[in-house]
Amino acid sequence: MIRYDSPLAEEFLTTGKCESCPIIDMHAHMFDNAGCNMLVDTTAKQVAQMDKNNVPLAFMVSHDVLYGGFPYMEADHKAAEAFPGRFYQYVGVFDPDCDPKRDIDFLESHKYAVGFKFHGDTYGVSIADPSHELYYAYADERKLPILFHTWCGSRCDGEGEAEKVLRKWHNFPFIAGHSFQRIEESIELCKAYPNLYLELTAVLSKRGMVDAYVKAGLSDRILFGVDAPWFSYEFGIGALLSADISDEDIRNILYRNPLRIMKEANIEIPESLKKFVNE
Amino acid sequence: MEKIQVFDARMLYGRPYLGAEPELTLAETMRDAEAERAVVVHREMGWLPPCRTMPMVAERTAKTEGAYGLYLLLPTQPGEMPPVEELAKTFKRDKIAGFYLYQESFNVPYHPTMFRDEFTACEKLSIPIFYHRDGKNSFEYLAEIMERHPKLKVVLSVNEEWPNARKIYPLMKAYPGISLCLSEHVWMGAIEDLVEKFGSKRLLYSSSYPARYPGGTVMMVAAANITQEDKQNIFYKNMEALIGGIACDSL
Repeated sequence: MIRYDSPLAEEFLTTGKCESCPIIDMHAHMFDNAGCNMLVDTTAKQVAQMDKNNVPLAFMVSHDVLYGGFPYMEADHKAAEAFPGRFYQYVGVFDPDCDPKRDIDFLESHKYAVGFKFHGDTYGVSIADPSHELYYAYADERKLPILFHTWCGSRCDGEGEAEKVLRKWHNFPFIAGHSFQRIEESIELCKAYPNLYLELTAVLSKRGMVDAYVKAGLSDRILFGVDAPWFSYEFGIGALLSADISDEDIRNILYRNPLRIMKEANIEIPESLKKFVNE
Repeated sequence: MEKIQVFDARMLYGRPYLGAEPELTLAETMRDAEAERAVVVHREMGWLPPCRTMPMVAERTAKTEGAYGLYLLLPTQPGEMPPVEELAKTFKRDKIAGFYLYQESFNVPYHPTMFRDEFTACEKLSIPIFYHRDGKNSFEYLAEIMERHPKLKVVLSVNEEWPNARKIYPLMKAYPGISLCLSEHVWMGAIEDLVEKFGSKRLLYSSSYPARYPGGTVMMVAAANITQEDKQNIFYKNMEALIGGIACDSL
C-alpha cells in the first residue's frame, strides 16, 4: 500500500521533499568507489541530492577511509568543511591498524568529527575485540554515536558480537547499520539495551522489517540511512510511505530520533534544524 | 492525493517452492501493490512443470482484471510444452504478456543454442521475454542471446541491489531491445541518469511486490527531475506499448 491519504505522502510525492519533515541521514558515505560505480560521486553532487529531498544533514565516512584508513580521514573532513553544517564525520576505525589515541586526537581536533564507524566484516575483526575498548570508553562517557555495520550471524558484527558490546557499554548510541538484517533478534536486543538504535540501510528494500520494528514499539529507536550515495533517498522515503506505519513514526525516524541523539551528545545542531529540536 | 496510475512490469504471486498458499487473491494482492495493471510472475513456475502452470496462470489471469500472465519458457523439442507459434495464438485470449526465463529449477542454461527455435519465434512474433537475472544466470547469456536475436524484446529485471551501471549500461547501449525494470535499481540519481542516457521509453515501473515496498519505485519516478511525459512512459505507457501487439490490443 502507499498511504496516498497521508499529508506527508502528498508533499513528498509531489515535490520530492517535505518542508515540515527534514531528513537526517545517519548512514552515509562519500565519493566514488572501486567495487561499484557511484552516479553521485562528488560532494557537490551529493549535496544536490540532499537538497532535492530536504536532507539538511548527513553523518558520513567515505569509502576511502573504510578501505584505506587514517590517511584519508582529512579528506573527509575537508569535504564536510566545504559544506558547513551539512555533514558530520564518523571517524572510521580501520582494523587491524586501529590506533585509539590517534583516532581520538583526530576527533577532538576536527570540528565535524563527532563519532566512530566500525565495519567488523570488512576487516575480519570482531567489534567486541578488546582493542576497541578505548573507543567505546571515550564515546560512552560523551554519549557520542557509533555506527556499526551489522549483519546477521556474522562472527565480527552479528547479534552475538553486538550484545557483548552492549552488555558493557550503556551510554553511547549503538547504531546498528542495516539492523542486523534480522527482525526478531533486533527487536529483542532493542528491548534489552536502551542505547541500541536500528538503522535502515538495506532494510527498506525488504518489505515488512520496518513495519515489525514499529509494531514492536520501537518507533523512537529507528534511524534513517541509505548508504548514500549508493542508494536513493527517494526510494527510502517511498518505502516508508508504503510501510504500515504512521506519519508520526516517519517523523520519529527521519529527524526526531537523530536530533535526540545529537542533543544528548552535545553535537551542534545546524540552524535549519533547531526549530525541530523540541518536537 | 490522487493515486498514481501504474502498469507494474513485475510483481509476484502464488505459492513459493516449499511455501504456503497465498492468503490473498491475486486481485487483492494487486490492490495492495497499488497496481491497476500488472505483469505477474506466478511463483509456481519455479517448481511445477509448464504443462501444469500454464492452465493455472491462465485461470488466475482470467479471473483478475488488469492482470497479465507469463508462461515459463523451456526448450520445446522434448515435448514439455507446445511450440511458441502455437502457444502465441492463445496469448491474446488468455492475457499472456510473454515468456519468463526461470532457470533455477529446470537445469537449462539460457544459452541461445538451447532456445534457438523459441527465441527465433519470439523475435518474429514480437513476444517479449522476461529475463530475471539473479545470482545464478548471467548477463553473458543475455548478451549472447541478443547478439543472435537482435530484434528480441527483453524485459530485464536484476536481483542485484548494488549500483551496477557498469553492467547494465553497456547492455542497454548495445541492445536497444532491452527494457529495464526499475524496482531493484534504487541507486542514487539512477532515474535521471537512465533517462538521459537511454530515454524514458526503455524504462519500466516495477514493484517486485510483495518482496518490496511499491512506494519506493513510485517515489523515485515521481520525484525524478524528468518530464511528465517521461514519468507516464515509465509508469505505464511503455508496458502498454511493449505488449500491445500480443495480449493487449484492447488497451
